Amino acid sequence: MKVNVKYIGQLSYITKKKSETFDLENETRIGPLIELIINKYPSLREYVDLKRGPSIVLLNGQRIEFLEGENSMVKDGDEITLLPPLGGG
Amino acid sequence: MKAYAGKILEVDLTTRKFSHIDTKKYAKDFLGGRGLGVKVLYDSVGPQTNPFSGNNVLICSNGPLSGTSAPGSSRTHFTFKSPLTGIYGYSNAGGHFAAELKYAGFDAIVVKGKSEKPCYLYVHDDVAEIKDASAYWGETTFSAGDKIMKDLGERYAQIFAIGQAGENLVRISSIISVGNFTEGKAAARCGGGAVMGSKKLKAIVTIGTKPVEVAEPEKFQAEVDDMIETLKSDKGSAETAPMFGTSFLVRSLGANGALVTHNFQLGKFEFEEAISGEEMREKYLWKAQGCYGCWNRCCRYVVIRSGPFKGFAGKGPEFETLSMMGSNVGVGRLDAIIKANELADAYGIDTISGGSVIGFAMELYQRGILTKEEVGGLDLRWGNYETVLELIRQIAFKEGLGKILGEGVKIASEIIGRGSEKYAMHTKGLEHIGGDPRGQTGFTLGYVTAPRGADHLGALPVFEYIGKPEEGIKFFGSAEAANRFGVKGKGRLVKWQEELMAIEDSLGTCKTHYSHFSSTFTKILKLGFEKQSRLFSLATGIELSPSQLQKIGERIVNLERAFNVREGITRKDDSLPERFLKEPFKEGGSAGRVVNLEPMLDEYYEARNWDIRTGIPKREKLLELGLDFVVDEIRAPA
Repeated sequence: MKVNVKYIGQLSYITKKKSETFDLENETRIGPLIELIINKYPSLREYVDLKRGPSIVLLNGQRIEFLEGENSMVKDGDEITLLPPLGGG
Repeated sequence: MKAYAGKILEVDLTTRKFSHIDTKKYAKDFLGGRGLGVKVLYDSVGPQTNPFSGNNVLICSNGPLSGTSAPGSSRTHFTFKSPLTGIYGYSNAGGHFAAELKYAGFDAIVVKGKSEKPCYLYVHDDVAEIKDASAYWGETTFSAGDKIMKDLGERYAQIFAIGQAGENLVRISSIISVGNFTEGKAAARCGGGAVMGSKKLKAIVTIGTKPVEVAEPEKFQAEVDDMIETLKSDKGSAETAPMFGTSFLVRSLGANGALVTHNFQLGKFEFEEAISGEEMREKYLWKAQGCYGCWNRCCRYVVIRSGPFKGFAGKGPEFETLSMMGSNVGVGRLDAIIKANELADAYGIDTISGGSVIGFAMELYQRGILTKEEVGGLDLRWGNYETVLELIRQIAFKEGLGKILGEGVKIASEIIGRGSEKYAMHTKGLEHIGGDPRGQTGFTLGYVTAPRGADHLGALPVFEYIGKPEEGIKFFGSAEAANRFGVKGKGRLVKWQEELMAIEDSLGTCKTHYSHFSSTFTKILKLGFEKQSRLFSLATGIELSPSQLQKIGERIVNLERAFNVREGITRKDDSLPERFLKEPFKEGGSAGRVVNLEPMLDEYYEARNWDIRTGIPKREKLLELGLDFVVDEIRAPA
C-alpha cells in the first residue's frame, strides 16, 4: 500500500523534500511507521518523537492524540503530516 | 511610575491646540496600548458618532514595556471607531515606532478633530507640531514617508503613514510604517487609514532622545535574560520563526484542510506548494528581519529575480497575505502575491480584507451574479493575478468595481444585492482571515467574540494545535479544548486567551514572543501572565501579580464589549456566515465538518459572566472589574 508523508517547515529541510510516498507491504499502526521515517532521517527525532514530544503528527488532517495515538491504523492512500510543533491561523 | 514616559499628547486638529494628560490616569487599571486606547475611546466617542466625523478619535499608543529591553516590545496600537464595521476598531503593528514615541516623551497620542488641509504630526523630544502635508498628499505610504524624512532632515525618524486608500476614505485602508528597519509594518484592520484620511492626517512622525528608566534595572534584565534563554531553547521561536515567519502556515493549514481557498469554498489549494513558506524561503528570501527588541525575526524580506516583477526587493508577505491574496483568490504564484502585498502596503490597503473582497467578487463572477460587462471588462476568473493587481489599484482610487469593493464585503454585498450577501465572509463587518473556521473551532469562537469582528488575534488559541488532552482537562475543563474540532472547553480557552492577548497588546509586546510561536503550552504559561507581571512590576515599580494582570485583561475585554453593546451589538451579532455552519468541505483534512457555534458561545458567556441570552456583561461582573461607569449606559442585566 502507498502512504503519502508530508514534511512541513524546517522538517522539510531535514528530509530535503516536502513530501514522499512510502510503499508498505501491509497496513500498519502509525507508531512503527514514524519509527521507520525517523530511522531514515534520524534528526527528525527531535521533532516527532511520540514518546517525548513536542510533536504534531496528523493522520489525514487529524492529530493522532485524538485518534488512537500511536496505535492509529494507517491505510492505503492515507496522508501523514509531520509538523513543527506550532499552530495558528 | 517608571518605564512610562508619563504623559499623553492630545492634539485637536480642528483648533490646532495641544494638551497633555497624565498617564497615571490610565496606567494602573488599563496599563497602556490597547487598554489605554479602549478607555479613551469609550470616554470620548459615543454611539451616534460618525467614524468619519471630527468627533471620532484616533489613539496611537505604545505600552509600558516599549523602549525597554523586554523581548518583542515593539508594538504600536491604533484605536478608533471603525468606518468599516461601525463599532469598536483597532489595529496593531510592529516596527520601531513605539519605542521612538517613548523616546520622544509620550505614551500615546490622542488625535481629535479634523484638519482643513493635509497635515502630519511631528513629535520629537516633548515637542509636537502640526505640519503641512500638501506636498505628500496623493503619494504612497512609502513615498510620503521617505520624502517627509528627507524634508525634515530626520533620517532616523519612525513614521506611520497612509496611502491613497486612506486619503480616499476606503473603508479597508491601513496605516503603514516607514523608517529604518521598519518598512511596511501594517496596522491594517478595521480601516484606521480612512480615519486618518478623514482627519486629513497623512502621517505621524516621531523621533526622540529621552531615556526610558526602569524601576529595578538589574532584576528586570535578569527576567529579560531568562526569557531570551526560553525563546532560544524553543523550536518555534528559535527555528520556525526566523526560517519561515508565519508563512509555514500555508502548508500547515493545507494539511489541516483549513487553508482558505476560492472565497472559503475549499479548504485545500491546488497550488499550495507554489505559494508556501518553504518555496518563498528557497526562491525569494533575502533576509529575515526583526522589529524593536525582536528575538524571532519573523518578517520576510524578499527579492524577485526573474519574471514580470523582476527587480522587486522589499518586505515579503506573511501567512495572511499568502492565503488571502493567494489561495483565496486562486493565485498560485509567489511573485504575484509579493507584488500584491507591495501594492497594498504602498496604497495602504489591508491585505486580509482586500483579498477577501476580491475573492468575494470572483465568486460572484463564478456564479454569474457579476458579469464581465458590469465589472468594466475585468476577467475575474480564479487565479488571474493581473486582475487582482488591477483591483488593488481600483480599490485605492475608488475606481470601477474597486469603488464598491473598497467598502468591504458587508457593504459591497448590500450594494450589489442579488443574493451576494451569502458570499460575503465577515463577522460584524470585518472580513474573515486565512484559516477556515471549519477546521479550527477555538480560533473560530475567537473570530466570533473578538471585539473588532472576525479577528484571529483577539484570542489566538494555538492551544488547540499544540495542547495535550490532559492539559485541556486541567486548564479548560475538557480534553476537547486541545482538539481543533472540539466544542467543550473552547469557551473557557478563548476567554483565557483573550485576556492574555489584551495584556500583550496593552504592554506593547508582540504575540510571537509571548505565546504564538510556542511549541508547548508550558512555555505559554511561563511567558504569559507570569513573565509579563514580573516584567511590568520590575519595569514600572507598580507591583502586579499574574492574577491581577489577568484581571486587567478581563477589564479591557469587558470595556470593549461595553463599547460595542452601546453601539447595539448583542449575541445575535456574535455569528458566522451561513457557509461555515452548513457547508462542509468534500475533501481535505477538515472534510465533513461544520462549526457547532452555539454551545461554544454558551460556555464562553458563562465563563465571562455575561448574560447568555443577550451576550451583555452582567452588572455584577462590571462592578467586580471597576467598570461601574458602564453599568447604566449599557443597561447591564442583573
